[in-house]
Amino acid sequence: MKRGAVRKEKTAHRIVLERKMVTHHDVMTWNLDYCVGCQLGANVCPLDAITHVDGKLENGRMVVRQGVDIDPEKCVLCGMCAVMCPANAIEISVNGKPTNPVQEYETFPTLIESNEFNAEAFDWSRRDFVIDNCPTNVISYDEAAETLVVEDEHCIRCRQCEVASDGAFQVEQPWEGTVTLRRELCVAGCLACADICPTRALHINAAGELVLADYYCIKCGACMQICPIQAETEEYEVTFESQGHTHTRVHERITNAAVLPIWVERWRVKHTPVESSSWLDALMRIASDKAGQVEIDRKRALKRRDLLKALKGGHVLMDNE
Amino acid sequence: MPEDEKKKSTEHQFEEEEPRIGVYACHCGSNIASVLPPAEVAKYAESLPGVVVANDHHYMCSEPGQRMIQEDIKKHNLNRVVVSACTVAMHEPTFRSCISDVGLNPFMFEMANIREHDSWVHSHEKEAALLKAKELTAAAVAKVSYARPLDMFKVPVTKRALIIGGGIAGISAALDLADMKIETYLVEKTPSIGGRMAQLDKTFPTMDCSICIEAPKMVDVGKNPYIHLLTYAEVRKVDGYIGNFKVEVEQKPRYVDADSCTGCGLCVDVCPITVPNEFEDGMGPRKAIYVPMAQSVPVTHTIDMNACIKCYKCVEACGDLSAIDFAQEPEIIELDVGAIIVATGYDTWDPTPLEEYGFGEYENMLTMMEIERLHCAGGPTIGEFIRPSDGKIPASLALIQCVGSRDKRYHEYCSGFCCMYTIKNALLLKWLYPEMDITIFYIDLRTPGKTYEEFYERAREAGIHFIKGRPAEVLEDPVTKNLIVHAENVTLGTHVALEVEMVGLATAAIPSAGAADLGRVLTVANDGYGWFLESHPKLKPLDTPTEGIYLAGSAQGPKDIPQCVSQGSGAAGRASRVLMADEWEIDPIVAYIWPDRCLNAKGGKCTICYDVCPYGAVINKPGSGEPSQIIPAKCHGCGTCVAECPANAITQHHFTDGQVIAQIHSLLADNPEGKVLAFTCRWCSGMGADNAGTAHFEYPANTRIIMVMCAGRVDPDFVMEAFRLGAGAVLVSGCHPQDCHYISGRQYAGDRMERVAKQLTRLGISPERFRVESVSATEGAKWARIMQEMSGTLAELTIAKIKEENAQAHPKLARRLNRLKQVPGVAPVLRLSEEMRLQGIAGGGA
Ligand SMILES: Cc1cc2nc3c(=O)[nH]c(=O)nc-3n(C[C@H](O)[C@H](O)[C@H](O)COP(=O)(O)OP(=O)(O)OC[C@H]3O[C@@H](n4cnc5c(N)ncnc54)[C@H](O)[C@@H]3O)c2cc1C
Ligand code: SF4
Ligand code: SF4
Ligand code: SF4
Repeated sequence: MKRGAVRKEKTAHRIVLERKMVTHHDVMTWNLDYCVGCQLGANVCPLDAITHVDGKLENGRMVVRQGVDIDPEKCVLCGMCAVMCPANAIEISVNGKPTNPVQEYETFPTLIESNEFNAEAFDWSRRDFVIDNCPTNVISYDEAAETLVVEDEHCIRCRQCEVASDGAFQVEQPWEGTVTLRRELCVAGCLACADICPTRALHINAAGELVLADYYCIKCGACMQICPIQAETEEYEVTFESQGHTHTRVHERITNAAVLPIWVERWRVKHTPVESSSWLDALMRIASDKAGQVEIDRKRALKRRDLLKALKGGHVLMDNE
Repeated sequence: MPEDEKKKSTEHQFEEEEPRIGVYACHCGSNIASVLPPAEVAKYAESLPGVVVANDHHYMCSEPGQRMIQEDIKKHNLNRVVVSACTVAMHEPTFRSCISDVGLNPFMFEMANIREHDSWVHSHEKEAALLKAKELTAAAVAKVSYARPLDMFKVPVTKRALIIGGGIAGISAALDLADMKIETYLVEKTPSIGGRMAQLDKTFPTMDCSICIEAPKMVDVGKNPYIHLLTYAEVRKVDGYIGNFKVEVEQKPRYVDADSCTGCGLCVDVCPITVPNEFEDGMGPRKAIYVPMAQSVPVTHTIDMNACIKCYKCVEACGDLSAIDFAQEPEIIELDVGAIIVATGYDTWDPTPLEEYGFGEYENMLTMMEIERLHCAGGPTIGEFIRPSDGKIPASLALIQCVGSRDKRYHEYCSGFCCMYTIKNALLLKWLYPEMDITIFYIDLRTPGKTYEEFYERAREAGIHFIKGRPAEVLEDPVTKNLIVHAENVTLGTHVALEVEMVGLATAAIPSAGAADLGRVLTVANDGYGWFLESHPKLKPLDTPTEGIYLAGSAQGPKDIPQCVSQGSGAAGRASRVLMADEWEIDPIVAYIWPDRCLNAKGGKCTICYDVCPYGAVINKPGSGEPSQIIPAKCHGCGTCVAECPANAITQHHFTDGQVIAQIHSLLADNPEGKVLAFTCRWCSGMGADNAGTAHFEYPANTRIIMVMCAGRVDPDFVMEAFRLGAGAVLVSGCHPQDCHYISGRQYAGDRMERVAKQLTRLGISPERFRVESVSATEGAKWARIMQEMSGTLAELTIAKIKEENAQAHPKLARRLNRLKQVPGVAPVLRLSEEMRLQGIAGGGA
């Protein structure tokens, strides 16, 4: 095998891509235990290197987890999927240092998200309750500092701690959007989405019923992937502007939203500013065009002379240009 | 060339003149004479019809030998000449020009090969060898009797050249042609010219810095007004013929506009995507937008679309230059050129399949090209020679030679330059790191260049260890990542287990990727290993069998830089012979359609000749009432259409049906049941038969060979006629189909002969009496084996049984072959043969 070629190692729990040149060495790891098979990575990947691996359902329950697979011959270890992964399942390091090339080169932004704990506002009797409720087990008690700490890079921002702590935890989620569950459209007896949902957003209650707690939803969309009633899509052309050019790309959109029992819509994501057409392209692939359009509209709006003119004193500004 | 002139040269309507033939048998020193007496061959030849004079000489090809022929031509008013000597590949051109110097048409000449096909392979059957020499001579006399004078075609010449491959060989050729003010296109498939030489550190034996001496030449190419550089481009289609090639080159999109890009590299700095750099053999990275190396010519950057994520950061960085253009698409560029030079070089073999060395598994196991990049100051580590596993300078190093070369499992041949570059790398590293312990494992050290042996001596004096023995296995210490080389020291007969910190493999040089496809496009054959095949290994090493296409450098087989440069200049010289001429003469051994015999002249809808012609040389208008027609300048003269034509409407000049039938009759005049008659092409298989001779692979002397240009020329009627005449066994042999010098001639021959085999079986001929084979130019041993086997078949079946089968098949064969008489030029041959039979003049000298 040629030096510098991407090597892949896959086990039940992880996929590791390693690319070793003599002066450059990158490693990318997918933690399959975290991965929910949401398809955000596959959707943003510009080189089609990621494919969905179906899970297995039996009697309406997930018996084999859904996930992803990577084609080492296509992947260039750019890091886009790692930025978008809602489950923080992907890690990259270059020459031994954790880094993300698309972020380092300002091709992708950093998503704005956080989780802050206000120890003063916390009712300490709820300590174990909060720790137990974290689906990713990233909250722990720091004996020395006598406070609760969050392993931030693995927090998926589900806000369960926020509710559990009665607001002592304040979580900012990167995504805005909606999740809709319509039980009446479900396949009878199916509870699969609750099995894949990484949070308590979709769960089975004590009575054995599927329940949606929408506040906890992180808009990953894994539920839509596992749902036996699959989304159907059509291709359409998207044009947008970036870096002084008009770009035209073919994207897909859902055509049967009305019959989907579970439907997640991503509208917008909070992020640091960045000027890059691959970011806009990626965003428009994974967010409903409403959301994509919001950003683009803002850009367009700034260029729209009628809008400028409509402002108080706008025509004066234009005349002076 | 004007249409009427073409006619004149192909359709000689000349008065039948009595053949006046001179026959000359050569001793070739003792090469022939030690096995059979040439004087007796000459004496026998005198008895043959049409022969006016016959003589023998020590060396027919020598000046006195040739003078003898020329004087006889004048004295005896000869109009045809036969020389019984060596192979046509060697001396046919010699004797053709010998006779044409005294006014005889050069095509009124035949050679009988009594050396490679006779004395060299039958030294233990002297009497049978003499008989064979006589019969081969008789067959040549029979063929030449029906020869017609032919004129060379003259074609105009486009004074432009195409060079494919921008390594040092291609660069040298381009600069020489430009010096002659010949407009030259240089097509290179990668983004920069330079080839392998650009990757090297220092060069043996003088140790000058490789890129320092090559870069100025690369720049000269880039600047030269006579050279048009087409990089990141590949030749897709070649049509036409010497002096008049039409070429389609695909310019791959670089997504960067060559006119606007200044090579500043700002785009590279902002590109987020890192991939391995091919130029560094994957040792170091490059970006998705890149130039392979700092010295790249041209400096135009290229976007690798397999890696680009279309972030447009480069577009931003490029700014007002606006050089980046994502809308670029592949473009076809059409070129008209008069000559083509192929200089596509070599690739290095990936030694992963050689599991015992663990390349790809062991981090500190490198190829020699990687070693080269690793100590090169322009390389990924800026010349620091470090172990990939831990970045430390290795204290010890083993270099293993002949990895995948001289190895029957991979590549049988010697890769030529590895001994020298291994010694070079050892010496360079010894100079850089005097403490480093360096050991070279070799099978043989081959240092046959000027001052090369002295170079090797220097390495010994420098304290480099040499161990004779090919390592059987290399193991890795999983903790230290050191490598333990296990070998047999052949000199001492001891086992060596040498632990070193790093190992370099001198891997085989292999034909560059795509060489076979390019061969197909150019209709130039590749040899059994994939290297481009030269026209003649000694006398035409730079030519290909396709006129107007030449070879330079490692494309033809591994060569070091001095050889590549010489060949580049040599090929430029060969090409300039054509390009400096106003007109070029081409061989008239082409096919010709008799208009009145063509089925289409009578309103037919036949497309057979058109379909089988590999060169698109046939104008075919089925149903129009117009006969098909062959464009002589496009016809390469394989004769496939001749054999395929259902109406016998096509002939091939110099290989007419009449001539071949005359050879068959002559060779089978005597004792046909005891003979193996072989039809072979003149290329691979013919050279394979010659190779059996050169290598002295003995086989039985009851074998007789008829050469045509291509197996595709062998008409089923030739085979049938041989059996009608009572042949013991018949062979049709050509190149391996993928190596056919006429692309598909061998393929058609194979399909056709399969049908013949079935028909013969139905007629009661034992299947082993008719064989179809493929022999390559290097498979002399195979040729000898086939001859032995077929000869053995005769003995096994017994002559009585063969005669019985023949008698049974004869009536049907005779009925079928009645039609031969209809073929123009064949009836007189049959008549004469019959007369001779009645008069008891056998072809053989029994
Ligand atoms: C490790 C190593 C060390 C060496 N050290 C030395 C040394 O010290 N001294 C020495 O004399 N020799 C040395 N050599 C040998 C040297 O590399 C060759 O002699 C020389 O580079 C061959 O030049 P070339 O032009 O024939 O082929 P190449 O350099 O291979 O050039 C061929 C060019 O053609 C291009 N090409 C291929 N196919 C096509 C196509 N279809 N269309 C268009 N372009 C095409 C290729 O991209 C390439 O640019 C060494 C070789 C190796 C492997
Ligand atoms: S409900 Fe929300 S968090 Fe749960 S799987 Fe669906 S999208 Fe993801
Ligand atoms: S558009 Fe492609 S080549 Fe340009 S900077 Fe981005 S990844 Fe690199
Ligand atoms: S098939 Fe062969 S002989 Fe016939 S026209 Fe074509 S090249 Fe010439």
